[in-house]
Amino acid sequence: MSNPLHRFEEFGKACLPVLSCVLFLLLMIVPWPTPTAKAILSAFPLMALCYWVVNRPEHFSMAWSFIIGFIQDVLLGQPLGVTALTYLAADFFLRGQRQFFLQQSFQHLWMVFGIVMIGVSAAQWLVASLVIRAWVDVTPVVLRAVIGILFFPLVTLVLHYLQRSVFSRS
Amino acid sequence: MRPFGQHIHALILITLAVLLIVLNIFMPSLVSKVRITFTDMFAPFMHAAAKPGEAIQGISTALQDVAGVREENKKLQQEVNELRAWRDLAQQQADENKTLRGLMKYKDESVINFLTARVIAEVGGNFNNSVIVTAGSRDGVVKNMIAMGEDGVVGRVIETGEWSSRVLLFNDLNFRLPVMLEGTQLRAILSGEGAGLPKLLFIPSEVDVKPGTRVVTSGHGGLFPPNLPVGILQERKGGDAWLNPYAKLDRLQVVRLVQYSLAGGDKNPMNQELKQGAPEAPPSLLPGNPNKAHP
Repeated sequence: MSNPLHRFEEFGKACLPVLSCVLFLLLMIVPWPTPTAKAILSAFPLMALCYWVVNRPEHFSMAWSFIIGFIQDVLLGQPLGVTALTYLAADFFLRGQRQFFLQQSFQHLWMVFGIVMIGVSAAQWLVASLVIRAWVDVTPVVLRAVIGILFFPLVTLVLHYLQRSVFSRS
Repeated sequence: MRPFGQHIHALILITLAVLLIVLNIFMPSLVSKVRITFTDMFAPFMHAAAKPGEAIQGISTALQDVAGVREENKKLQQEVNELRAWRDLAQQQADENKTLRGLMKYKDESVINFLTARVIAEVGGNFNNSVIVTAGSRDGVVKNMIAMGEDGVVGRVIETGEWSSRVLLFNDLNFRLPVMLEGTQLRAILSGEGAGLPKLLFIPSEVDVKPGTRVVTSGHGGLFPPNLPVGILQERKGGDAWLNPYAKLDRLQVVRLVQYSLAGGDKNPMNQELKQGAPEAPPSLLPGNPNKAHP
């Protein structure tokens, strides 16, 4: 029988991936002194989702991808279900190929994230265009997608360090 | 190969997400209620998470203040001198207005109450722009209240929870506001453009309007009172015109929520809706004690 301290540690480990996503969500929406910060932080929840689905799928089920997407829709005031659906699609794609991704180099994973980011951004642009029934300017979407792709290594490094320091303890 | 259970799991969640999307179309009021309930739940976390950003902003502002204090002082002194002249003129005109209204038995057409709320979240995606403020229905906030920044209009309240409210900013794709170009009596519709500058629609291309012209609310529709400052005309190209807003929409810290209603405005459907949705106003919001600051 495991002691309560060990059980608490296990619970902490299980919560880490979800908590990191929620933290990134909160960082994304709080007011920052510069608008650039908002553009940089907007892709962080998706980056965390991609990282945990590939590296710790046992602690990040598909339901969490739905919930994180749902919370993002709620807080951003977007139509409910849109981000949840795009995150589910990203999760489904990454989870199915994770064994393959784990054998590849980081550059390969970065490229895959780029594809996921473009897909999610395109879906958001399409929904926005459908909502106002006109093609909206694609520039902000492209800019945010590019910034997101550029910052992926930095976020991955932080999450990797976090994962190693928490999950390597047994 | 994926296990069969995983497919079922994915299918259930995808169906749920699609159902949510459908709900947006057929039951918008329910979706709005769900959204604001969850926003209320997250408000304390957002409030706590906003603290480091506020601290950084405070330090940066303090450093800027120290660096530019002499220059700022000189500028303010000059502004005070100019404003003294305007104050005298305003006082003179207010007295004149009072006398004329008395002579004409003029009935004041509007009732304005307001409260101040802190911005705890800037929730801008690629196209939608709104902020969440720490004041809700318990503070007297009601749907369609006008949100004002330091320099002018910033948007209007679209959702009200018990503890927090969502303000749709005027650069959101869904925002429309009837405006007027000062000095010309020319009316237009302000339309949010997401990340770009807001557009002014329906300005006839043959009308000559110079960039720099002040744009104010026209008061049409009854939701916004007339003559609230919005911005200046930035650029004009053919039939298109863009507005440079007075308010710094990406650096809002505090907003003033204003409830505007026409006196005895029962004939105005907008105000009727506003009244039906409004809880009983707390004493601090009643006329005679209009100002309330909310931390």
